[in-house]
Amino acid sequence: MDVELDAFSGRPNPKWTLSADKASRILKQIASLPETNDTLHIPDLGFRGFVLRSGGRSIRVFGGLVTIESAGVTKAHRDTAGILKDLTEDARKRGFEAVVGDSAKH
Amino acid sequence: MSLTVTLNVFSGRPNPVWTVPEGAAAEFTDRMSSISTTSNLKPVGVMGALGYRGFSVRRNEESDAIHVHAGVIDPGHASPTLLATDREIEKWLLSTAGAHLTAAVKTHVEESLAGPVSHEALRGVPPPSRCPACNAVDAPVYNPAIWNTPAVQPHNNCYNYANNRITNTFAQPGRATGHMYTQLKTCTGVGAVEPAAVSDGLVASANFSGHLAARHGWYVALVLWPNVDYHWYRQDKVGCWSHKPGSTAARNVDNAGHTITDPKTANRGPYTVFCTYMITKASVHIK
Repeated sequence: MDVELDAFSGRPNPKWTLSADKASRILKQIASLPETNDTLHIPDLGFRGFVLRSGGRSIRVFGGLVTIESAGVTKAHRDTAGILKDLTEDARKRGFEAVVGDSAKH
Repeated sequence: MSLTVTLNVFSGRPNPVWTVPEGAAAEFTDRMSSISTTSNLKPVGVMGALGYRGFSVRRNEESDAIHVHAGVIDPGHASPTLLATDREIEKWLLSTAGAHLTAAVKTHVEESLAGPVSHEALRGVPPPSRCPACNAVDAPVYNPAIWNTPAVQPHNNCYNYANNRITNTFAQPGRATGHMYTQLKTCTGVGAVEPAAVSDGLVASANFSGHLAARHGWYVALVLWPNVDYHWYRQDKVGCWSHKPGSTAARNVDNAGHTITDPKTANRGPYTVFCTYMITKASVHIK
């Protein structure tokens, strides 16, 4: 499963591939997240979260929420599993500390 | 697929809910499709305190609601907001209620729909009178609908947008002319973005007040997220500025949702370094 760090304007966003084990774990976590009616607010410029793509679904992890878009329908879930924190750590290890900053606190 | 329509009108009682059959539901889709003006701004919330507050439309139990009020149609965060020029879509939704509404409620909503559209629920809709003068004859018209489509939006960035050129290459300063930037630490100097843009044909400008005659281009502005990224704005015909952050939608507000009268003073998030205004024109080379 590919991960896109959605943050840049001029440069292309960084992308990498999760290991099969990690992808499987995150998808299981996502499947158990509670749904919410909260609305995701994404800043225009700067860190806008992580976008995962799996089986035709586009999953955005940001701001305490995980939104899943599939066939034009989007559902929001609370990120009670700490997926943002997990992916942020990945980004830091890949040298994107300056990009994600303290994003896990959002 | 049928639609479930909720009329947001009551305070204490449950709101009226009814189902629109499949055939009529297609008309709702057609009516939405006919609205060509879009905005990336989202309504800040349901406007109005008591009485008519719009319709919520769901395609099925699990889908996001589409909110329709005062000419603003919000299909959800994944799609641009549609801005209607009249209240016809609301009048049509009201017409589908049939016997689900009492005469008194129907009359109240009809009276509400007699008023004009209002986009005040959106953050930062710019009053044109607040924009500075545009002194460039060739300045592009702000028309985000051209850019915010699935075929264009993901493949064109801020540099494409500032130069008003769709290349579908996520254009990079200097790449077309063999002098692509190699560092994002400084605005100028070896390997910086500004000289890369100059290589493409852009020209630095101290301000955006000088008159630019036809075929002499329009004003853009370069900013830096030091060591991370760069970003561009452009001045539109109306005088205010707009931009397209990466693969996201083109818009005319800053990170705080405010009209951009000058990118130097706008809320630019992490793009803290203002480099320069520049002049671009239709003949520049970008890739």
